[in-house]
Amino acid sequence: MKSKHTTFISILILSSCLSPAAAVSAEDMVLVPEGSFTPFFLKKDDSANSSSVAATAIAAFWLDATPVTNRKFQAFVNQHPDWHKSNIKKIFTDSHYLEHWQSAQGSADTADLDKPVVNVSWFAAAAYCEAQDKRLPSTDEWEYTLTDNERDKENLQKQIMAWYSVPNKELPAVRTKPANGFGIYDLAGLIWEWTADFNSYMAPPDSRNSGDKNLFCGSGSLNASNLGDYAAFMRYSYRESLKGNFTGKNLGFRCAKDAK
Amino acid sequence: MKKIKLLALGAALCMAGLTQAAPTPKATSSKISGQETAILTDAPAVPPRITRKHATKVVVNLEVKELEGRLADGVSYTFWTFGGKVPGKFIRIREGDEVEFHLNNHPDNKMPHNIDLHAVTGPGGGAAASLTAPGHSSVFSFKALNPGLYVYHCATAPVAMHVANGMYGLILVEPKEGMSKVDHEFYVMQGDFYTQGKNGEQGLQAFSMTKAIDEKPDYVVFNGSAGSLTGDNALKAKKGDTVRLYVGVGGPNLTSSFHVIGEIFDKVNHEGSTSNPDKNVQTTMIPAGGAAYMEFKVNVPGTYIMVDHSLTRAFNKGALGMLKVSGDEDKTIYSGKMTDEVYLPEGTSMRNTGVAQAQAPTAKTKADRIKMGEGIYNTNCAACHQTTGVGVPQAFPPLAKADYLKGAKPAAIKAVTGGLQGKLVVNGNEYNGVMPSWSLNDEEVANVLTYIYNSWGNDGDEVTPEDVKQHRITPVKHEE
Repeated sequence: MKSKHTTFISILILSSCLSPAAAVSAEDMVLVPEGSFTPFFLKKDDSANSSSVAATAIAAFWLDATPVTNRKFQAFVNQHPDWHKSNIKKIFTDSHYLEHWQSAQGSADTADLDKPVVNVSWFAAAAYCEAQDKRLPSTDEWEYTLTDNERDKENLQKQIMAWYSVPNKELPAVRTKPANGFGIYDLAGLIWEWTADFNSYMAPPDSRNSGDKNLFCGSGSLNASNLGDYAAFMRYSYRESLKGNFTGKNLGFRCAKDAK
Repeated sequence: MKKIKLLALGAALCMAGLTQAAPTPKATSSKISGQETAILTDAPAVPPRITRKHATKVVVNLEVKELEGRLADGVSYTFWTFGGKVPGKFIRIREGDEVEFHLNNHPDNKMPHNIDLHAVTGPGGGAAASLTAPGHSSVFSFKALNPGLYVYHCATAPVAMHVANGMYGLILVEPKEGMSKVDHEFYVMQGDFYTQGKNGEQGLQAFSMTKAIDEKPDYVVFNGSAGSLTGDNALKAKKGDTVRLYVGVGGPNLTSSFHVIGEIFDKVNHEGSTSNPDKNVQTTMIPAGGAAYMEFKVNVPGTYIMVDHSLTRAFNKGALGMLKVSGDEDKTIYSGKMTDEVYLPEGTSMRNTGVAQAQAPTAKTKADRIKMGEGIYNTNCAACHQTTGVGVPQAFPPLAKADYLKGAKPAAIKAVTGGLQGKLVVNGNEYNGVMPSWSLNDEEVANVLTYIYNSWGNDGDEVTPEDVKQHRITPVKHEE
């Protein structure tokens, strides 16, 4: 018990986080101010009066400035061997968990340390955030941050579309492109990211039970607030295709924390 | 209100397969025996005819790949594909078959994908059951209740973009009695593409959402790229063969007025329906998300051009393919060009120039002759032979330094007065055209030929009215 405690402290020092409060340091996390945005899809039960889409209010929250890197996830795995690729419980992931960590010890390649960690399931991502005393952002929080208060909207959409429509050749490191207006990096153009409620907007996987709410064919457009936002369609349908144990070569995450 | 309309739209788009597919008891009662893996082919190839007489279980493995490929010369595009090419693999099964469908989404892909097969009876045509994240595969099964030629496509939001990037193909459900034997079967599918750059702009072109929403494609092509069915890639057959084309339209937006120039479809199965075909059809309309198949016998050798007869698509945007038929000519069906003569409208049998028979001044000297001849030349000859006498390559022979004229005044006089037709070699180049006879009097012919002989490096001979009188071909005078 004592030795474990000591290691925990040393990790904290290594990552220059001196106390739980300071863990939310300006360098790693950014306070996203409160605000509101128009969600792309209506939530399950508020479509009764759907003629106008209400703006959703978002409380201020802390968000990681960048996606979690291989370096940070490596530290987490070292600290929590249950999440090592040779130990992870089968129900928490598919067979591709951390498959890009190819060394014999199953650790990250040095060259990749500053690249975003990918091939992680929702369970692994959630466990990581929890271990930092954080949580995954909600889809609303994530989308609100992406809208960037509608700053430079057209350019942003173009940039997003350009990335979405072309397969990644190789992942670049985090923080290689400018931050958005909130000071957040890499929301678009690097990887897909897990959210806490990634499938909460969606229909059950079989549309027989879902009425008109799914993303297929024409009915994909039924509940959308902006039919011209193809990038959002892609993001939401990507999330819908996931299950908690899935991993992907282009799928990573970042953590959030309530602002209290 | 708005919602009801949208719902109807969604239902209509999604359930297209369902509405025409009331389950028929006779189809469901067919017994399944055996199992096989479907042979899948890339366009323009079609899997072999099904010869078995019973329903079976068919396993289909289809892999989705996002990859860069050629859209036109020097133009590439990131296609999303069913099987690595546009259109997707051709799938061939038989009515009553039970299909176990594996949709595999390659791990390198960025997008989730699914498949809506119009041959499937059930919500979404399989789309709901097959939404697949990159690096995963989905399995669903269906029974092929209705025979016909059907489109399949990706139906993941935004569906128009998935289809615009090439995610469509054809599935043929053969009727129980099978498809008749033909010499060639080909697979052709039309699609419209929307690029950031204009048609022909070089390099990798990104998808243009704006143009897609406006339905203004830069490319309309067969089988995924301009030129996929032309030149060396042309479809090939021999004279006397029967050809069956399976033609689909992926869209996402445009329909096709499908036509083969120089052929008449002996039979067309509209909308991919296996019921009695229509006979002797020129152009058949294929809707977006629809298909048709057509048969014809190729009787005459040559190159047949397949087009979307909305012609700027064929001419400017790529919707053009070729069927090359080899073999001996059969002049009784088609003669080829027998003659090419100048068309003389009723009331004329030769060119009557306005100046003919007028009180023309006569030339006193060679210099006069040249001067007067120039006017005649510019009025009558320059349109073809050019004011500089150089002619037009491959069309009109030159007069400048022409070996044909050198020391051959009688031939020149005969040419002007009687016209010329057929093969002619001038300065080593072959011409095969027509020159009309000119209704010019002896004086005028002498003047124009003297002008020609004294221009552009020619020998400087003089042609006199007497020369013309001696050698001219007596014109067939038309009496008004």
